[in-house]
Amino acid sequence: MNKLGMITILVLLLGMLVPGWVLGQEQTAIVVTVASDWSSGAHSVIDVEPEGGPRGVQNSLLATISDISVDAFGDCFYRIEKFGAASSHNVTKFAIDAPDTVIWQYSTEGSESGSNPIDLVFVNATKAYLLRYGSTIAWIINPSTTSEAGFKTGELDLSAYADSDGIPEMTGGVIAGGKLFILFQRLDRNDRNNSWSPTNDTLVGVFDTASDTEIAQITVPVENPQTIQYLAANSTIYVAGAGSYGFAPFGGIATIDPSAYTSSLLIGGQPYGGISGVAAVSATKGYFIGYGSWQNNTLYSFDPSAGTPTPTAVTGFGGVNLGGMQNGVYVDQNNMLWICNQGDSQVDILDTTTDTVDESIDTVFNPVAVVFVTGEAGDAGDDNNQDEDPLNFCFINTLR
Amino acid sequence: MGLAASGMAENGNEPISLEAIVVTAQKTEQTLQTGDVDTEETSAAVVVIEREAFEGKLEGLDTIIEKETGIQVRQYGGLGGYSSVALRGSTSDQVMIFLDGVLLNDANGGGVDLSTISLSDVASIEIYKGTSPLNFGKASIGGVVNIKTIRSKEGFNASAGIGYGSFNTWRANGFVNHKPGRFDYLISAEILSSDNDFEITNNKGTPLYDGDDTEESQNNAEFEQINLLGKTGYDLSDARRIEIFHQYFFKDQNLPNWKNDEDANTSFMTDRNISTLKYTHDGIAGLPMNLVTFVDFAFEKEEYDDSDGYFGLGYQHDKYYTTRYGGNAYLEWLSDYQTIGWTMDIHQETYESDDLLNDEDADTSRRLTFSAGLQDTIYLFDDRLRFSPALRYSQTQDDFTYLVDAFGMEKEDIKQTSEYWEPQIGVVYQPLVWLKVKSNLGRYYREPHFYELSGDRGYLIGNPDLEPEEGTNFDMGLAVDVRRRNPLLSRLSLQGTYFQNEVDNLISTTYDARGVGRAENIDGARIRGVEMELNAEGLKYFRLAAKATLQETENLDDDKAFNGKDLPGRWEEVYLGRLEAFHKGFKVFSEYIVSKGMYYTPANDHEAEDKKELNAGISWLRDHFLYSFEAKNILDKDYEDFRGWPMPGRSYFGSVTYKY
Repeated sequence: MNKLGMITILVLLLGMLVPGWVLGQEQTAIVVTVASDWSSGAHSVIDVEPEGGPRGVQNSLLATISDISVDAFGDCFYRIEKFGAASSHNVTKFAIDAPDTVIWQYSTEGSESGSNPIDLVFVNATKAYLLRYGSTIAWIINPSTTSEAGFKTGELDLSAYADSDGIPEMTGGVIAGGKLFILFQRLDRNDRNNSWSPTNDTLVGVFDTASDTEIAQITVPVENPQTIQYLAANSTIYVAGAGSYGFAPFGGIATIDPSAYTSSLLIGGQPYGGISGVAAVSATKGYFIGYGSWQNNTLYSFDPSAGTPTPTAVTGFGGVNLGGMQNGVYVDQNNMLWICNQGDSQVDILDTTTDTVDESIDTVFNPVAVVFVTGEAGDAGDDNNQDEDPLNFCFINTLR
Repeated sequence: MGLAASGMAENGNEPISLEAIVVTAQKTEQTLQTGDVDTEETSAAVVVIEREAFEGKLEGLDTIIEKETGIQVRQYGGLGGYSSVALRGSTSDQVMIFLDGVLLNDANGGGVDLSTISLSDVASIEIYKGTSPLNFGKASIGGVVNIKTIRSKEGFNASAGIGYGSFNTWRANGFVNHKPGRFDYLISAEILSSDNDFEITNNKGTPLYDGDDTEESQNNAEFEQINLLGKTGYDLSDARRIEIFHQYFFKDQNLPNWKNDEDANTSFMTDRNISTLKYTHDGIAGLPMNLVTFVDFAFEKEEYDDSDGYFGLGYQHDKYYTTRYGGNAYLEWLSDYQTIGWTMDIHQETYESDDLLNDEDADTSRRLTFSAGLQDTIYLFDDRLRFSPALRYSQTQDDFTYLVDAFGMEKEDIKQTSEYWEPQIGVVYQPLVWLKVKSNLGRYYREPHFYELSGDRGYLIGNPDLEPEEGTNFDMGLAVDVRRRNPLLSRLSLQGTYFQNEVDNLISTTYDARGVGRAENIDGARIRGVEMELNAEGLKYFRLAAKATLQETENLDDDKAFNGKDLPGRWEEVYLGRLEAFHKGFKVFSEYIVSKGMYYTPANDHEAEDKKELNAGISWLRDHFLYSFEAKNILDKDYEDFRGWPMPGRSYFGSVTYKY
């Protein structure tokens, strides 16, 4: 091998070993936040670096309704406004270098009413599935669109998953092995005595992302599922279920084999309460949030591979008001877990190696969801019109 | 405290119609009866709006009262839409609304929907800002709105009217009253309906994208209502009278949804009956002692139907039943130097609901309320100085089921008793005929509602440990009223009032990470402001009014997102200017109202557009007929009292009333 070849290999190896942020692949967190009385919401932009802090933060960007979520792809993030009156049932796209400048905002209603969008699952830069909690139909959208006409490109009819009220309550999805896994809560909203409580089997539908056809249907042994997550390290999908609120004999954490389409219970709901979120950080370490009662939640660590030994409460995170990990694993490039501490309106960044808090960051409102985008945050208020060439953004694979 | 702008009819000293500007603290057209607050004598900051200000108009109670200083109404869009009133920066929950002495606020929560109070049978509206006179069975932090229905007069009186206006708004009303001798009766009826299909801009839920916006008529906002009042009385003697009256109100209101769906069919129905038996005895046993006492029974049925899920999250079809009965007595001892008033009120209230979709009956909640109060009004220096110290004691006994967790999976029966002492003092000093100074200081409570204590399955869990909201209210005002024979300026009146309210233990719903809400006591708020008013009459045919309310609110909640911010839903500045011209039976007016500086949310991150409203009208009284025509929001400005719920643009209303 000549010198040029060796140098080329060395450079390539270095490129693989050096963290992305050293090469300019700065990672930035987007945190959607909600007022304690749910009167309004906004989003915060927080630097992931440096470890140990202090991290830069921009709070209270672009105020909106309170029922919101967020998803990210590459250097763009998509704020989802779910249910409300003044501004709702829409998706709004932003780029990280102008985090309060709207690239586009489109309705998710179509001819329906009350679509209640809840999650965006990205296949690539031009294809994503928009899960609509209040509908039987998921939309296939083009995140890189430059017009409303190009926003919706197709549909997935999921009415076969509906329970007796006619709505399947699709609540989250992941891409694993090139397949789309959609989680259905199947809550019966008609029965007031058990309104919105789990009375039907939890299902996961598996779809081919190329043909958008169903591959399999999986019954998951936890009720009232809150979140679905795929851990590539052990090729396992995790589903956390709350069971009935506050009483979780049928809640817990279940695993799904994305190849065999089988599911089994990993951890039962008792004695942890309703499990509202799960974050499998590695094949041997994960976290979940147990919901004891009103504003009384606990963060537990567990072994995602075996579920044993018994999950243990993380010191400093017992009996507090913690937001769930509904829309993803809030672990950054430094293996730090971002915890939505709603008791103190702050994000607690937990070092998953030592289970100690690296830094707590004030978010003014209560944090409800975190995603990470690639790129350095611009200052809010920068007049950076992304409409001119949106295809310059969002080509990096999703971090979810 | 207010200033009369009432004119005198050509044939005597009876006030004549002068539009809504008729705000006066002078004695009203009707003779005071035992139990009435003497609005001229009271130290309380009071606004009185006589029937002449709204008779024949196609307006609701909300739009009539919101033109006064210190009074703010918020409405969910158009005539008939839900509307609530706040006094001096209070919440609507903190305002007690009485109809002929019967409290309309219910224990289940929330303020009174003003759209369920018809003006067709109303004689006058009294609004007590920041002070609750002892005459009323219940006090609260914001104050009192007292609605008096028409009272029988000597002889035969009757009227009939019809009106029509924009959005296919119709009204027909009639009234007959006969008092030939000791016996009398009074019947009043009204039917009112509107399509409420005014033009709106539908942003399709995407306020940051204009490409999908459409201009369209509001759908499913129509309503119709019926209001009936029957009264009969008998004068047992010149000093004793017994009366029975019954008021029936029905309203069927459709509710548009945020998307303005054509197929939306959500509705809310109200069906209310109030029966009262009242006995008045003046000069008991030949002593300067007067008594008025009544027993009342009120039953209200409400039905919310969103079976197809157009309005809320999920499907809902519920009925709510509120039953309230009890008694009230007011006794006063009159002398040259003082008036001692004593009041007692006891009422039992029951609230229950039915889920019609699932045939489920919710648990019944009960509240027994007892209150008693004593007030001594002392007259000094030839009645130039009056002190009115008062003390009210209230006790509530609650029996309800507390939802420990959301969705009612765990419940606990709670029985608890709460007691409140509410002291207040008022001072009136009138050193000169044309100058009056008033001041009030009082402490009031607003007890938690069932909704806050017990929770609401599916959305809220209960909090039986809630403390009542506490408010300490202070005001001091000065009024000048000068009348001259100068034709250029025959009358000039000015008034200014400073008020400051400190509210503790405000009750606010806090949500946890799972979206489960729970009512909590937060630290409170500080509200202070100034109310100013000028009225001038001159040049024989003109009258000018200018009013302003400047208000500063501060949220003292510990929540760092709210602390130090303005309280939501309160204007910082409201200005009104109004010019009237009148000659014989003709009258024209124009008014311009500007409201500024309101936020929709406690974080002050959504600011309301300034509200600018230009209205004008003309009326003609000829023989027995009164013709009137009004144009509202002539500039066709868009505005929302509640974010996402637009108000009507330009509209017109006309009416004809025949009076016998």
